[in-house]
Amino acid sequence: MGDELSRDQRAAKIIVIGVGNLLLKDEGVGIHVAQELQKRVLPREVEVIDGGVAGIGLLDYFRQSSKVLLIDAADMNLNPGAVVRFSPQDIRDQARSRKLSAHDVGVLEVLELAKSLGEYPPEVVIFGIQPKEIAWGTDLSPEIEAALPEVIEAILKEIIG
Amino acid sequence: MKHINVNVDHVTRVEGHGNIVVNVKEGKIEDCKWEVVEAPRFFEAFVRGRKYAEVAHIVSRICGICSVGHTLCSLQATEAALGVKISDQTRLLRRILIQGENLQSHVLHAYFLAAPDFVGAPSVFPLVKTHPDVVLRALRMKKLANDLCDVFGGRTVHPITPAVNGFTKLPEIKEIKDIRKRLVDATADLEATLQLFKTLKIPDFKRETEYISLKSKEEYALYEGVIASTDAGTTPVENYRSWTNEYLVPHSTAKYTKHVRDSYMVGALARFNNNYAQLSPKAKKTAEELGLKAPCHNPFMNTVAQVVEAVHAVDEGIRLIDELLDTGLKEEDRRILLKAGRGVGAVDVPRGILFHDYTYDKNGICQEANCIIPTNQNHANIQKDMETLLPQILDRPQEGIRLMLEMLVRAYDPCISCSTHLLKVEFV
Repeated sequence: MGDELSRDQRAAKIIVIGVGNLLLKDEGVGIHVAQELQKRVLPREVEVIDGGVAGIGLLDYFRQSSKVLLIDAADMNLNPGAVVRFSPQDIRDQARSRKLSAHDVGVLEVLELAKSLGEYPPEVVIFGIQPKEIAWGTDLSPEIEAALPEVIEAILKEIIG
Repeated sequence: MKHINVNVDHVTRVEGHGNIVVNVKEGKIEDCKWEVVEAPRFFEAFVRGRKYAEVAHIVSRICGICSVGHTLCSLQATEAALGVKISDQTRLLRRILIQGENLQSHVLHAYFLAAPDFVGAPSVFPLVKTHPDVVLRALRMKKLANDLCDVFGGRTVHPITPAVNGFTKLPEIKEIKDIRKRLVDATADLEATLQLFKTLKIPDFKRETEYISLKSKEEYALYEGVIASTDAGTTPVENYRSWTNEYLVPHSTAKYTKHVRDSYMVGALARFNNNYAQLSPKAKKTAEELGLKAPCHNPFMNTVAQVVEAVHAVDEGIRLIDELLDTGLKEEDRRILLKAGRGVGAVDVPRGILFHDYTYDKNGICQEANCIIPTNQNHANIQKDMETLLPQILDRPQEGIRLMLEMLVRAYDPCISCSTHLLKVEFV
């Protein structure tokens, strides 16, 4: 399956994917970060994807990449705006216990599916940002807005070194 | 006497959150409710004050699964309001794009969300081990649909190239030909899909209702048409409010709708019932082999109708692409003259008929907006189905009743409060 890559995912080795819903305030923080990163000049092997709420579609991006960086709002019981870099092994495996719902296909479920299919990327890093408010709206809470430079810097450090 | 208490919070494998509440005391049904707990979407608040060119991009973010449908419906409404008449080329490209989304969504629902029920699996994950060929086939078909949306919409989800009065970027002929070849090659996967769904036993249940969808003289309607009902003929889309009649119920935060009867159904089965004659020959053959005949009054067959539409989507994709390759593609002038006005758009998206309605001022700034999504139009029908189904299955064990009611809800493929998938993290 999928020998051919679609147009926006050709041959990139490091893929940075922001996910979330832009219309649900802080839930969309991953997209805000991705859109900001897309304005930067980045090394050729890096590709930044605005993953939106692609769900299982994210699987296609995981293929043929040596490293995947995921940026998403994450409820970690921390103060709003807190940024944590972790890998999927650092957190309790909930994908299997939560049954799959089409829209509840978040990044953990897609990673789980990738693992089952033997298509798990060699390296996966997640940047979780603690949201303050998840409600219909297009703006970020001030605490989350203030955290953006920190997230961007951390990601740039991760991909450029 | 029998006591039954079924309380399913957040039906799994449904996109979002809905609860089933059933309470039977001494064999008597005291409670049987389909509760929808979604936050109000404040649709209007997103788009009011926005420029006409921005609106479709914003609404495409409402949902990751129906993002093409929302985009096209929004563009239609905006174009109707501004008095823009689109070219045949734009119309053709949009009709191809909507087939891509229908295929994408139906494969996801039929394979990943509905099929696990029929093989007794809690989700798609165990199927990777037990039925790897099935999962890989589903992913292959979904990727084909994703790539079709990428070529014709500029992205796999939340399309970016469709714009008011045209496309900001046209697909390349080579990409179109590649997709066409892959659509042709999908025959084997569609055949295998048919064989799989032949083995799945669909519950035998009937409740006739009103079926509402788009209808077009030209083709099996998805992109455009008039509103059609099995009970009441047809009406132009501008009359959507008097056909949807939104109302509130105490146990749900979503708005319900009704037309001729207490409830109506939208989605693949409704389209099938209204427009069967316009399906491709292969899609008709698939329906026949799966035992689906129009009119069909079994809501569980909605999943089968989706499989039939998946076959149709591939055939239609090829047919429309051939038309496009025949006429060729050219850059078009997308400029428009602004004027104040109101317009309604209607697209039959995977889950059913969708309406967008906008009013713009003379500068093209959105003043008022309304949106009625398919899932909300199905809530009352799900409730009525549950009320009819429950007494028929009361003799079953509680778990069996719960599963059957969950399967009923899932058959509608509802999309409730779409798009919250926040990571819930507990560090070890």
